[in-house]
Amino acid sequence: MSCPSCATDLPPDARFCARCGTPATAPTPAAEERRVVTVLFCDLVGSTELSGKLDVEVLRSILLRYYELMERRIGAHGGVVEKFIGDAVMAVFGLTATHEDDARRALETAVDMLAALGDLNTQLERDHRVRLGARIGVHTGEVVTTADPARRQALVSGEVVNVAARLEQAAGPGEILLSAQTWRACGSGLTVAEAGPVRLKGVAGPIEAGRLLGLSEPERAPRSDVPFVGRERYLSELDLAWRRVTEEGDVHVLTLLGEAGIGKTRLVDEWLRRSAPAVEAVGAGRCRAAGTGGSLHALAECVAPLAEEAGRHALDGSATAAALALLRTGLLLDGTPAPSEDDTCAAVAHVLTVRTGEHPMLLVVDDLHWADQPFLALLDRLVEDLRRLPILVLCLARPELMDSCPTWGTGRANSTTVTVTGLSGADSAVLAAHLVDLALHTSAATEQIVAQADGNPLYLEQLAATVEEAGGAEGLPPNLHALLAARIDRLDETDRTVLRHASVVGREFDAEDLDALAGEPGPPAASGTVLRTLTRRGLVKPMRRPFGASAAYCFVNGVTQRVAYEGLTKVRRGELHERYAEHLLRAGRPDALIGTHLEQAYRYRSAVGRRTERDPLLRRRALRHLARAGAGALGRVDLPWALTLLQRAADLADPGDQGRPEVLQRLGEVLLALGRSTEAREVLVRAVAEADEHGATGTAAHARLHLAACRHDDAALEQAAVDGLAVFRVCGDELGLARSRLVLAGSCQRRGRHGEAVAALGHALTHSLAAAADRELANTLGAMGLSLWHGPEPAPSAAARCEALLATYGADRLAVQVTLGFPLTVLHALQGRSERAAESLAAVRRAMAALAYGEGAVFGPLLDGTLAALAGRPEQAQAALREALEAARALRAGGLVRTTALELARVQLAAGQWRQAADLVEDLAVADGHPVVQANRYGVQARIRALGGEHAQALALARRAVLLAHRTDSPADQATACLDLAYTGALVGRPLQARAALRAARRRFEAKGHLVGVARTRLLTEELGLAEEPGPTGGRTAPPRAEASPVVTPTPPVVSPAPSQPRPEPKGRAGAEREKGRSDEGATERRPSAPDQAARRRAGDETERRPSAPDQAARRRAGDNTARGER
Amino acid sequence: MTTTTPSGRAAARAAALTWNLLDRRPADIPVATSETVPVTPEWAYGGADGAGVRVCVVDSGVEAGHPLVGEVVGSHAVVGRDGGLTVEEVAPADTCGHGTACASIVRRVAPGCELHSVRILGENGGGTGAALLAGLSWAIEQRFDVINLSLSTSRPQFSQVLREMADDAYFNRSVIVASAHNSRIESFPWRFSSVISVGSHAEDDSDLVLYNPDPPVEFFARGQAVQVAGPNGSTTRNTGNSFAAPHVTGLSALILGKHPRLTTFELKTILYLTAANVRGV
Repeated sequence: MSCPSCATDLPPDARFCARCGTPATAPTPAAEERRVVTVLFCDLVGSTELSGKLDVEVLRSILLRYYELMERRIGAHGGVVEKFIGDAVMAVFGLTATHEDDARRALETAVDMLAALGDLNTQLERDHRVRLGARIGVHTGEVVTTADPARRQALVSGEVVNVAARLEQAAGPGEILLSAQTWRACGSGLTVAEAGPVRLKGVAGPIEAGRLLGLSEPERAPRSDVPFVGRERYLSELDLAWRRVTEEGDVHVLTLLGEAGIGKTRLVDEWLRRSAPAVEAVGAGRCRAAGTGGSLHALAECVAPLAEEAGRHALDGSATAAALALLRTGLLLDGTPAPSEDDTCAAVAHVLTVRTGEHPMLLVVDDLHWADQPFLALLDRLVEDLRRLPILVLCLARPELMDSCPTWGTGRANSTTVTVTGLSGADSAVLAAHLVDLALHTSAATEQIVAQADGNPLYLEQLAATVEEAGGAEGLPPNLHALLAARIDRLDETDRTVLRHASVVGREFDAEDLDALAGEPGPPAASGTVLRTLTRRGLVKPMRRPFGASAAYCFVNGVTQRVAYEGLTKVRRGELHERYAEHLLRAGRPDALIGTHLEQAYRYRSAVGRRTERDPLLRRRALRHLARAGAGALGRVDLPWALTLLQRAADLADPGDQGRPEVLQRLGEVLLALGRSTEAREVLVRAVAEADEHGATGTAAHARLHLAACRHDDAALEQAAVDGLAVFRVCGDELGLARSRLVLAGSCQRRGRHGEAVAALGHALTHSLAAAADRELANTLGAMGLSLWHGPEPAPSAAARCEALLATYGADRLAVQVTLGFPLTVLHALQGRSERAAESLAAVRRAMAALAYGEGAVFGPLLDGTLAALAGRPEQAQAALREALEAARALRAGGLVRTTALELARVQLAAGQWRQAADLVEDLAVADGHPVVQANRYGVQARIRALGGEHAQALALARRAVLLAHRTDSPADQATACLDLAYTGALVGRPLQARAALRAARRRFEAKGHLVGVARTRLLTEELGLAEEPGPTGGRTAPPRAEASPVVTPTPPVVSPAPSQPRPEPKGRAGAEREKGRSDEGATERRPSAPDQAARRRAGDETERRPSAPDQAARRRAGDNTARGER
Repeated sequence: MTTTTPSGRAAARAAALTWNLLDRRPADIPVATSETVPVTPEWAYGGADGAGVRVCVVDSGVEAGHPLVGEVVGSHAVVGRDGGLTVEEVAPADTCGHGTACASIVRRVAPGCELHSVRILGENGGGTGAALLAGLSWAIEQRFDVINLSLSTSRPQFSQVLREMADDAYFNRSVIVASAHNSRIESFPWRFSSVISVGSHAEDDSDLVLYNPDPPVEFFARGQAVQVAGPNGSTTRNTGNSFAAPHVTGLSALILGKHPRLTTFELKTILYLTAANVRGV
């Protein structure tokens, strides 16, 4: 059992809390609310001394007078005397009803109490020669009370009271010490001497406090540094009303109705400024909350300047002089209708009649909602008496006026009501821009506060100030909070409860949600009626919905929702979140939503320390739903959302919880995909350990796969895939099988064994489809396309297969259109089918754009460059490849940087820019075990060395390239290596070897159906003067030295995360995805397999021939070429 | 702080100013022009990467080591000292991500430029006009080639001093590229003719720069859903004129990289002549 107020643990039979004194048998939590109150403590100074001086009876009578005086002052400002403790009085403001100015009321009371004590002291000194001294402490904060006003008093306790009491003890005699919270809640109009942070006994941490020196009316004048924005329509309304009054010569009452802070006063000020001097003779008054001055105070303020003016011209004994004399004894004296309402009314009417004899007149009554019935009645009568006089009575009021006086305004004679609504979004943005000293020109900066404020200028101003001071609008400004809390507090309990329930649902909610939350047995809450009331009060507004759909509403702004929610006790929040989660569960709503509400329920339950056996249950349920939602988001490749959900699930999970290893494994996967590999590794290591411990072999196998990918260890990755395959087979884990196959296919590709890769990928495809795993599917198909492009399958049938796959799986999958479209485009291009290639390229581009494909920055230009190189447009190829290289470097994608750099180097070599090419490839790090990349690089290097005159080295490199290429089953890679060898051979004077290599290249290109490659080989043959027989006399497809790279080796694109999501960290993703799928780096060299050995022998046969005489000529010509190329 | 007042600096410069041409002939003031070369984008910045050009982002600071920003050579901040404001070297950091986002655009357009940062926003993201004055005047004093300002103040009391600073920068070959306010309000310094002001166009084209025939905003560049550096090394998309200005800042760096001796007047003319709607593509 714990205290309902301060949550201290209590013995089971306790009736009161030992710490704060709250009754232990609390009312049902449903009846409790959190509210912000201001507590005032006032204690006598030196009362023991006094008791020594005075007779007990005298002392008693003095103290009774003192207490009565204090109690009356407290009551006059709307405070409640909570209790007397010794000589101290404790008063609370905002307990029975929240006012927007509770903190100010408390301070006004404090000042008043000391003043009253001064008067009392004058008498005491005279009668008893003693003085009473007092000191006061004031603090503002949240307390828990009952929602039922009749029962509220018994419950104030806890930290707020404690701080107020300690502040009072720290104050000097005659001083008022207030906390920073009270200070802030009061807003402007305070003069305070900072007392610095004070340490108070029994209060954790220092309290910022100040000494109250003076209290004046809060600042109501608009900020001079902020221009007036918008509102043209309302200014016209005012113009119109004024014209009507002046033209018709009749009185008119125009009421501007609008919520607090909407800018009514500012509107009138602006209108007066613009209308001057046409509109003048203004009498202005402001109604004040009950208990502050006479009931007609506002009228007195209006009339006073007019009366003074009239008095100057009135002759003694005239009617005007008599009327003024009468007003001076009542209305103008203390704001009361003395000697009678009739006389007062007549006198005011007379003064106004005299004044309007000269020109039309304007009277402004601000804050009319504070006015009480007598004032409104008198105003009504006055208007009757003023008929046929050109007087505009401008009343400004909040909508509450219509509660106290439903018939006010439009409908009455000579009356109109105009409702002032919020600023438009654009005007709000303009105003928000003026509210800050320095504006960043990003739309995000103002959007947030504009959205929260919903067009209310005061909210905008407060929120902008908070953002400027605190860097965000997380905490609500206290006066804004008080303003709304007061509005909510004025609602009936039923209405208030519904509003609070709605705040649990969110910014938007519908009647069904509210019925579900009402929960109590009996008829469902008459939410329709309540919602109409709340709409009328301007707290919620209906949303447009198709006819027949259940009525949906939303809070008018974010601030209102927050304040409504903050009024709920944490216990209650927990209950409501749980109840709502049950409703969502029954309604079959998304796991993320259910999980979030269960999570909130659990968090609030633990926050108030009410631990029961239900807590772990709640926690595990929240965990289950969040984990499922996270897995779903991951499946949709919505990585940022998946990260959020899984992170929260992991935070909820305790070791040993069911499902925790899976959550950790998926979290690791997401982190890895986001490129946060250090964190990923940490999480995955835990996942493996916990999965092993709980015998979750499938999860462990998945985690091991990711972990190996994380560590950039190809051998380990392959091993994990092999091990995983067995495990996944046993547990029928299709996703796991798809992944393992994909990894194994990747290692085949790395070794250049595309035939084997295609076979493995066939399995991966089946499993991806069975697992409905779109990302694996896209990556499988992309890998398949890559192997079809590079592998032995002839280009025409390879392209046909790609097209068939695309038609079957790509129709509604953008990712597939990208991953598969890339190799397909190249396959078309290398057959010289430029139109088909262009069509395919356009389709890939569209898919990339629709997918917001991050790596598009690399793959887009890479594809362009590849196609340009194939089509013999070297300049275009260079530009595109350079762009791709920049992008790849920016993404820090090592594999992509390598392939792109090599590709660019080949184009540069063809253009004769071998030095630039050398700069690109010489420092390129390629690990062993990547025969494809190695062959590519050795080939390029061989040509560079040959051109640089390092013949022996060049030849060795070229041969090495051929050997490596022949370990692969890729005709194009082999042919390219052969061309490199031919080139090198010709340069170093080995024409026979060169010729043989050309023959070999041609055979391979022909086998592949690589028509561009065949044509290039022929050209090179002619170029090097190595033609053995007259070749077919086809036209030249390209100028001789525009010989560009026929081989293209980029890694194909892999799937990126969800299209619509902003993508926070794509930089590492390209790398991560590739590592997971088919890493092309970092592997240890593998022994060549049997076919490789054979290939090597074949390669040897063709390349190791002795040079003969004609080679010399070839070398010279090649040298000439080079010289020309370099020019 | 080593700042002198703008008017003080103007006085110091006055001795070197030419007020009239009464004592010389037109032939005495030859200007090397590019009249034989038609100003095309290729001539203006083709092949340039902004190398050798010093660009300063006066903003919220720039995050250290962001992959989309790369090296930031200098990192300074306006800090309060003894009741005044001064500029001090600080560890690279960004208080709200705005400066890093802008810097990443500059880096994308002009990969070779030398980037500097002056943080004028406070720790919590809010900023004051006084800090803007201090930071901007420091940047002008350092004679950065291009200064990017994706912010403004609407307080009239700062406008005169800012105008003097902008004029100072204009004649000292420090180009201030300032984004226009997102809302239709008067604010400074983008409003001055001595800076290059930039607003957003709605096209999905980062290379598209347009001249506005109807100033005060003189140029338009991409400012909608621009891919920019996000917090902690991430990438995100942002909207606002804030992100249009850095495109022109980057472009200016490219042009200055290729033609280092240009005055601000000449640079602005080249931007005009190469604007897509002027050159007619």
